[in-house]
Order: sequence, then structure tokens, then C-alpha cells
Amino acid sequence: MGAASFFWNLIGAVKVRVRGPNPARFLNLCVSSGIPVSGIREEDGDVTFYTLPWRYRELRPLAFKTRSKPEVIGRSGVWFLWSKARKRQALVATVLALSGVFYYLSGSIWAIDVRGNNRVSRERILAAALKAGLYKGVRKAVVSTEFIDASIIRDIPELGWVYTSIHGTVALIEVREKVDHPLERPGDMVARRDGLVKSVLVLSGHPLVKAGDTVKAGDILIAGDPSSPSGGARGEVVASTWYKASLEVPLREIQPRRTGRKVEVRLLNVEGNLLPLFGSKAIPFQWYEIEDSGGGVRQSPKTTISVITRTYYELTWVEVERSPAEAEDLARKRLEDIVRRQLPPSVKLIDFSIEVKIAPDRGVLTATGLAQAEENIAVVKPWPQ
Amino acid sequence: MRSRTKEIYRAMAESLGLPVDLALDLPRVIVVGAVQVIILNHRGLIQYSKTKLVAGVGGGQVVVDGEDLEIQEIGPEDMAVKGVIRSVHMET
Repeated sequence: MGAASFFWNLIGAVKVRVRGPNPARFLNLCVSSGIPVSGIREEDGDVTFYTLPWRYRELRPLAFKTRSKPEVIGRSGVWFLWSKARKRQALVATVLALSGVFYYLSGSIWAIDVRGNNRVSRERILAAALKAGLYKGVRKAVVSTEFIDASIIRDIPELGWVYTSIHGTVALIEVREKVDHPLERPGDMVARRDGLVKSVLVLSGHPLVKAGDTVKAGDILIAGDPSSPSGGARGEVVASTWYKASLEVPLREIQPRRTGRKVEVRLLNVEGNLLPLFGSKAIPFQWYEIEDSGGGVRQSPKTTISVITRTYYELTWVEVERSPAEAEDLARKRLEDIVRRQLPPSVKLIDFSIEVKIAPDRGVLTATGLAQAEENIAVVKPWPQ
Repeated sequence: MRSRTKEIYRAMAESLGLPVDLALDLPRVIVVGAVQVIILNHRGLIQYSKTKLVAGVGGGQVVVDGEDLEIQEIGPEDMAVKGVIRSVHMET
């Protein structure tokens, strides 16, 4: 019935089969009489079409004129559904009752999720929410999110911001914790680590070093004036610093490799509990690694119900032999990673060099990395009170 | 005489910039790819089967050949036919 099928199904339609010498003439008479016909097809030598149930009687005189025989072969739509429903009252009552129960239950909150907490425990936030009237099973209509936000933030002073929102039957409490900024006490500025001074910027106090000086960790760089209440030293001392790291890379190593065989299982994640759905329950591999994908993996594992695809990859152990050059490359990469992890984000890496030694008797390459950086090494060392 | 009147109508429609099909009560046939044919200004169904549909129009017949033809909608002036359309031609 094409694009009009929704309309026809909504209001109800009868499927009519016409047998006769000239069905085309019958259809022309239908059209000229204003009887809606649609979805005209040829089926087993006869013509079938759809029309409205209450216009079917009007077909009879037209059929007589054209010596055709119309016959109802199908009924569809709400019109007939209602007629059927009247005969199956128990089924209709059950469907209506279940719909009612579902509708009623959808008006309650059945899961509470907390996001953004780090130091404040989830249980503590949930307890504060419970005190404010938010708990599993509470009707959404009686929940005031503004009141819950205000109540939680009042009960837990460590929180700086709370926002509660309701998504379907899930209440989401998003929080941000307060960040403590302890007041800095006045003092001298001392070197945080050894370095070669490149520049000195004094905002307050007397500089004790100049560009080109070598300083050790703990040396006073800018001295303050303890006799004045605002005499604490302030400023920046940029210096070249050096970071060192060393490691050993074996020239022969046993490593895991994927064989290419894998097994996939589907798991149902219900608030962090994983229940098997499909796939093999026993893992046929002795050595394997696991990769999870699908809903709920990127979110908090305790948020909602989701299906996870867990893939087990079979592993085998292979002996890897490295040439000294390969080992050096690997050592350089690993050392750079180690050094970069040591550096604070504000520190600029200027140069990185590596020294290698091979111990053939032990079958290892020993590498030492030296990184040169530039950074502000001045930190306040408060005066004793 | 009749064809002369038509010629005059056609000339007038063309000089006035009017659509000729409206002025002369001619059919308009729209073919949508090979899946649908819409016939406007028809004069009734003459023949219909799965493989052939003939509709009367002013000045002849429009014949649609194809497979699995179905008349989606039909009204006093227009009809939409869908299916695998092989050919559409006019017989006068």
C-alpha cells in the first residue's frame, strides 16, 4: 500500500479480491463512485485491492453492473483490532494492567549514579542523598533536585558543587570536590634541585645568585627580610637541570605473541556484576589476554545495565633476539619515556643523550639517559614560626 | 475541423506561454527511474495485469510494460504505478 499504508492500517482496511470478466471496468466504476481503492495487484489471475471497511457494501451494485464477484480476503488496522480485542477481554486486561504497572514503575527512580567524586566516598554521597529523600524506589514526582543538591552540599563540606539530574529511571549526582590551596607562609626562596642558573627574576627580596652560578638543592637563591611582615622572598630562578635514568634491555627475551585464535563471549553487566550471555563459558586457551568492548566499558562500570563483548586472544611465548642497534633504539625510547614522566609539565626538555654498554656475558645492554631541561627551581622555604 | 481547433488552441497556448498539456487536456506521464510511473489526467483503466497496464488518456492510451506491476493509488485523474518498469509508450 506504499506510503499510505500507515494511514490505511490506522483507520482499518479490507483486502478485496475481484473475480470477473473485466476487473479494470470494476475499478473504474469504484473510482468514479468515489470509493477509495489502493494497492491494486494481480494475484493468481484475480485482482486484489484495499478499501475502507464501511465502503465495502457500495461495491456490490458496481459488481452487479460489471458481472464481477468481490470477496473480502483480509482485514487489517485498528478497526478490526478493536473488534478482536472485544472478544479477548482477558488478554486486553492483562496488556492494559502490565502497561499500567510499567507506566507506574517508570515514574520511580531505580538506580542512582554518582560521578566526579574522588576523595569523598560514593557511600557518603548516597547517604546524604538518602537523607535528602533520594533513594531507589522513590517517586520522581516527589524528588526536588534543587533541594537534594543543597542538602548534599550542606552535609558534605568537602564538595564544592553538586548537580542532580534524572534520566528516565536513573538519578545522576555529579559532584566536584573543593581544592585546598594552603596559604603560603613567607620565607626564603631555595633551590628545589641542583642546576646551572640561567636567569634570575626578583619580585621581592635580595638575590644571592646570578646567571652562570651553579647551585645545589637547598641553597638559598633569593633571601627575604624576616623583620618585615611582608618580607618573604618572591621571584623566579630559571636554571638548567639534569635528569638521569638508566635501564637494562636484554638482548634475548621471551615475549607473549597473539596466535590469531580468539574467542568472543557476550556478558551482561548489571551494576558491575558480569553474567555470561552467549558464547563459550570455558576458555579453551592456556594463555590469553582479554579485551572488552561495547556498552558500559567507557562509562563507570557501575552505572547501568549493558552488554559487553569480551574477546579472549590466545597467546604463545616466543623468544625474541635483538641486535645491539635494536636494543639501543628500544632503550632510548624507554629512557625518554621514563625521563618525560619525571619532568613536571612546565619543564622544557632541551637535550637528551644516551650512553650504552653491552655486557655480552649477561646478554644485556645497559643504557643511561641524561636529559637537560630548563625550569624554575626556586621554591619558598618558610621561616620557622 | 477538430484537429484545426486543437492547432489553434496549441498556437494560442504557446504564444501565451501556457502549458500545452493543460490547454489541450493532454496526459502527463512522470517516470521515476524504473520503479514508478505516475499518469496524470487519465481517463480510466483499460487493462491491468502484473506485466501490462493500459490507461486511457486524451488522444490515445498510455501503455506500461514491466514486471510485478501494482497500482499504488488511483483517483479520477491520476494514478501511481510501481514495479519493475520495462517500457512506457503512447498509442494513438
